[in-house]
Amino acid sequence: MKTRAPLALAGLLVLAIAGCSGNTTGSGANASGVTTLKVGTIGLSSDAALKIGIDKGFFKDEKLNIEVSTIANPPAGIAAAQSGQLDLAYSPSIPLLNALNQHVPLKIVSAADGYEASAKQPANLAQVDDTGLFVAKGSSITSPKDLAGKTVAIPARKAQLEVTISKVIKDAGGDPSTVKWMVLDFSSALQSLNSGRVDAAGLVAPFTGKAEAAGDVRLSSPGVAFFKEGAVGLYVAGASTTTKEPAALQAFQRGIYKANAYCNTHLAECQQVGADLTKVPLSIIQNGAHTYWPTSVDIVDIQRVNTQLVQLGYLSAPVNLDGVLFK
Amino acid sequence: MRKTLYVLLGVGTPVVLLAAWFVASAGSTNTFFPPLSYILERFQELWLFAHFSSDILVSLLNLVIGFALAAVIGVGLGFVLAMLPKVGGYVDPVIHFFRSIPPVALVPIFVSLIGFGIEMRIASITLAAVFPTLIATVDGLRGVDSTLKDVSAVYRLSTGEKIIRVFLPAAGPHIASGLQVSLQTAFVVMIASEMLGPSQGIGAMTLLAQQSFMIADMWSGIILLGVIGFIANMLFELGRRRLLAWYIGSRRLARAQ
Repeated sequence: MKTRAPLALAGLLVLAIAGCSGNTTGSGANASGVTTLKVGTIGLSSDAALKIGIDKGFFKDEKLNIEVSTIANPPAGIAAAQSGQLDLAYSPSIPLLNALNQHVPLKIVSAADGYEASAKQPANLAQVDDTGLFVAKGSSITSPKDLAGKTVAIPARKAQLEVTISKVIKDAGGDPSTVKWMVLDFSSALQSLNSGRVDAAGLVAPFTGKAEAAGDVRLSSPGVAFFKEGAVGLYVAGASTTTKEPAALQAFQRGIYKANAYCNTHLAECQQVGADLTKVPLSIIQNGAHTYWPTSVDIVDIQRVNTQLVQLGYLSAPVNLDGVLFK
Repeated sequence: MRKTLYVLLGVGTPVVLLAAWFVASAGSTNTFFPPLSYILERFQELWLFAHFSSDILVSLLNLVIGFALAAVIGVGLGFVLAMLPKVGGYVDPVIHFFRSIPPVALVPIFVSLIGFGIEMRIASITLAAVFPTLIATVDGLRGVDSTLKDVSAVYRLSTGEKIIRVFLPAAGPHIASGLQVSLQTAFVVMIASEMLGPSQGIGAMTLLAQQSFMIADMWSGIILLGVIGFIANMLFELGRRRLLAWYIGSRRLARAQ
């Protein structure tokens, strides 16, 4: 659901470390029967549910000790999960499908964040989508269709914002293959948008709020347009953890879903936790899109992403999703 | 006899290492460490010559222009600072301040200031690569033997003659070492500058491959970078030997005595 500038080269480092697998320290039940799970997140306000689960003792009740660490970007987390450096890593469905497509053995353990069922979504989709496609104030571009041949800033190539914006352009009748994609971190993207160096920018909260404050125009909410509903951010585990610690992962599922459900009913409390975690002012989180924490993963939602990636040409063939859900 | 041994070692070590990698990785099913045979296959498909003009040439052109600018500015500015010791004393702290900033950290600032086109990439490379040459030039000129200065004064050489005939050759070995460090820095920043802006260039392609789990492509990019770095250094070394032949000869002579 949320993308963060995955620009860091840190992923390469993790790949290098991935070679030294085998030392899966920390995991395994200790004398009192408590199992430690190492979870990597990318530092989003939706991590609030995981924090709530730890603070309210939902994981403790399941005899789990959760160690949270922040990773640079989803690919780095996936590499760490695959090698056993992390037991669980946060990844949106698109990087996960890219990894599965390259035969990285991963399983989806639970949902981390996503969208409510379509029927329950408000008319103004900006209220649920924390991503936005913006053009500068007074731009002649009024529809995503006009972006053919134009320059669009995104945080990383072939990642979530490029894919979702391509979909929006295609659905509006434009040709996404002619777009000139510019890799820019969000602050540079916003600055370049306002100084006219790019024609449009794909942004994520809190930068969407800053764009609106500067008078920029939201063309579309590409996240919800692409994903529709269901889980987007996922907790995934590598083969070493799924074979060694199946019981602990089941316990994690129960704990995180309890926390997700809690956050959906106690939104204000979780927004405060999210603000503390990300150091983003609470008012910006409250005024931005409201996070939804799904309490299950429906394979249909993942399959829809899979199909759309093929339709847009990002995958040459759909990924086989048999058995990708951890039971 | 000994020379043949050295040549054998020089050629043999990489060959043995590559062979070891090839054998050890054969049949590997680990996604992150694919067999070398597959990496080489991808290497051929990607770089020979599908992305040659669209990515390799783009990167190399930035490298060459950035490095050339850095060399000219570094040597020129170094001369000015060394010839005017007072001014040099004043700007020394500033130079060391800028030199201490990791060049990669400056890339986002350049994006804000001058956008993300080729100018940004060349400016980043030049700025990062200028300092090693500048500092080496100043050091080299300050270390010029005072007898040389006296002799050139006695012969009443003009300033131009002094610079070209006396100071430049005398500081030559220093400047060359500085240029070599600059080349390395330019290479690193060439890759880093491709992390932002249009995804064109060897660094951008390698990064993209890593992020989309095309691990063999990533390795092939890393190999290509290694090869280019090696060739660039070799070309530099050849040029240095030619230009500083007198110096290398005099050193050999001094050792032989």
